[in-house]
Amino acid sequence: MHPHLVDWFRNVHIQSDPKVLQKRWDAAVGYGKTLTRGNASRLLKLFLFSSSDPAQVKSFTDELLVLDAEFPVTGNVEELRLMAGVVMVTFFDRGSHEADAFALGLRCMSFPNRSTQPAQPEILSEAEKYLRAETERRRPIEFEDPTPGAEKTLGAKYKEVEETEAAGDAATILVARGNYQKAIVRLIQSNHTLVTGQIKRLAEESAFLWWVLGEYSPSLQLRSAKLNIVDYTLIAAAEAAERTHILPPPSSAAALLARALAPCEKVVSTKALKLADFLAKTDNAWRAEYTPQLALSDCAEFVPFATGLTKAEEFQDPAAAVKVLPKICLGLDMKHGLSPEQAANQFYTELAFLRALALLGEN
Amino acid sequence: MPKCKLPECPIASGGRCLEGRTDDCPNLLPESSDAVPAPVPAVKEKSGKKDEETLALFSGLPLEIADAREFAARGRAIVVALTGMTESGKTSLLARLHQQFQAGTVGGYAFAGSRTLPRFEELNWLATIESGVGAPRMEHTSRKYDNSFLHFTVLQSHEGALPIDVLLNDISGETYPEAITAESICRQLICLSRADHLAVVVDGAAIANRSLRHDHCSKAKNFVERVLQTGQINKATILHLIITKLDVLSDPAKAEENTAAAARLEEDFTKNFRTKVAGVHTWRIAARPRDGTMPTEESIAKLFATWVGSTRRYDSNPTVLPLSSSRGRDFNEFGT
Repeated sequence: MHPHLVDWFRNVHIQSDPKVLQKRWDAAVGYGKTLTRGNASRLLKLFLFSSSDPAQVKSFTDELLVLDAEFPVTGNVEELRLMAGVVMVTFFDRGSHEADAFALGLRCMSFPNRSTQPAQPEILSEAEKYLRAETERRRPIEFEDPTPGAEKTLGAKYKEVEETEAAGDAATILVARGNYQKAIVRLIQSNHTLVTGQIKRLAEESAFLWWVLGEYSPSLQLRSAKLNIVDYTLIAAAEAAERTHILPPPSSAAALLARALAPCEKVVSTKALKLADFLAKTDNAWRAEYTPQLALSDCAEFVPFATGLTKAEEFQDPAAAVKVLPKICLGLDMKHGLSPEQAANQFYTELAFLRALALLGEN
Repeated sequence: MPKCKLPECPIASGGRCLEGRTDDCPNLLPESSDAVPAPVPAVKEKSGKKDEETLALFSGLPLEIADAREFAARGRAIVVALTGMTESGKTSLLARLHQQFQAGTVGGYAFAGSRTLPRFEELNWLATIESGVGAPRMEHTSRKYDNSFLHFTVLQSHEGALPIDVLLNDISGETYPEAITAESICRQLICLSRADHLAVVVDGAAIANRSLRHDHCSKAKNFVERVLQTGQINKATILHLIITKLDVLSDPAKAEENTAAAARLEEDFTKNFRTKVAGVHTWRIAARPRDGTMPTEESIAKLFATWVGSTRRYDSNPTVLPLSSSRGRDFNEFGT
């Protein structure tokens, strides 16, 4: 059970009962075992917005009642919203696609000046903590194999074969040899996974670094110095996302994006830029090619830039997309200023979230 | 010999009714009847049905924690803890709030219901001349209400506004000094840990009285120190210092001295606690002025709007994380 659960439930229980909390935690863990992509999006919505859809409230209540028969049946919206957050937290103690999806979904919602009502703000910090720890765990500085060496792993099994051969029982010899062969296969597999992981890490690093160093947009086939920063912002984020091979993304992504945009032609004042400007200035041909691969049906409210681009493509008019965007993405402040770096980082996070969501169920 | 519908009833064999009834037992059969109709449902079943149809009525008394959960679990309830010495004016403030809601909106919030309306009415009645007392007087809050709540539901006027539940925890004036001296008593104030706002009410008349001033001012600061020490309030709690009886404090004969003393307390409060809590607000009000001339509605409305409109319990900014102390790759650490 999370050590802060008592404090979190104080908001709804006023005085928390440890027995009830244990039941709630167990129910959250149980719920997480059958998590689907649709459920993950629904939990994020419930947790982040106080104006909840009654159908979603009812369905989540029914699912929790199966796991905890004493869960309140009615008048429970705030408790349900907190439970949605607790389900997320149950994943944050270990690396998983679910944890990546939840944490990146929560990070997406930190869009500048966007109004949300998380049921427990500390869970946002938990998500950030998870992302920070997991990105480092997935990209360790060491290249050594943490598992025992081949000699140690296979030595015992080989000795077993020798001993059974000396005893001369054919059946036992066969079993011992089979175990030895399996151990060899396992060792090769684990070493292969290790090396693949290391190559993936290095490939990600060099892909990112060459992209930044090259100061060239492969999507637009132009040197970035020839591009206007606003025109290139969202495209640069997509190019960076393509070079992110491991989730969660590296902590350096924002800094690398800023470097990639630095050579671009600047606008007079970035203070006056709004979300609408980035949608309007993004190349139409690129948008037409890129947006069909974005699967947003159940998570459009979390990804304003991705939704904006998709709608702009659908309507063939970015201005029309800007009009519908606040209705899809609640709490979005369309008038709030955004720097190109902020916009690029936001879209990059959205793309990472969409990828994590797509990977759900592959654990 | 009477007969019964219930086959196991011994009345037919000269015994006593199985259910201890007399001649009015509905299971008794007429002497001539041979057919045995179906038995009437047992009394227990009847009473069960009756229970289902019974609706529990609200007592109107302050809500216990278990009852208050109903509001906290259904939406974002705001919890305000009011504390201060006996006769400092906490209950008068609550009564005045009730009166102001009767007159219209308070700080932009309209009254939308209360589960403890009879208790508010009682407080209000005691605060008025019509109650028959010579001068308005307030009943002291009993210790039994230390962990209970008065309840309001309020609503803003704009379209789509959600109802907001406000739970007011009125801590008794007797508990207040004891909580300062005994940590164990302080820890018994369970609701304080959930409070979005802690309002420490200081009697303006005591500030105006040189012999009481030091004691009352010290107690106000000591109480906050105590609840900070026990962890019952923290960076999520907004602290309010409410100096009441502004009419007495502003008595022209000693206005300058009294105002300076009140200002010193406010300054101390802000300086000592602003970094330890989410924010410090200071207020001077007269909830029940003696001559009825001093306008306090506006201040009380502002105070109420601050209670309902701001909270740090749901602050959505994630904590800024320190840089990793582990040995991460330079690539991952770049620019962080």
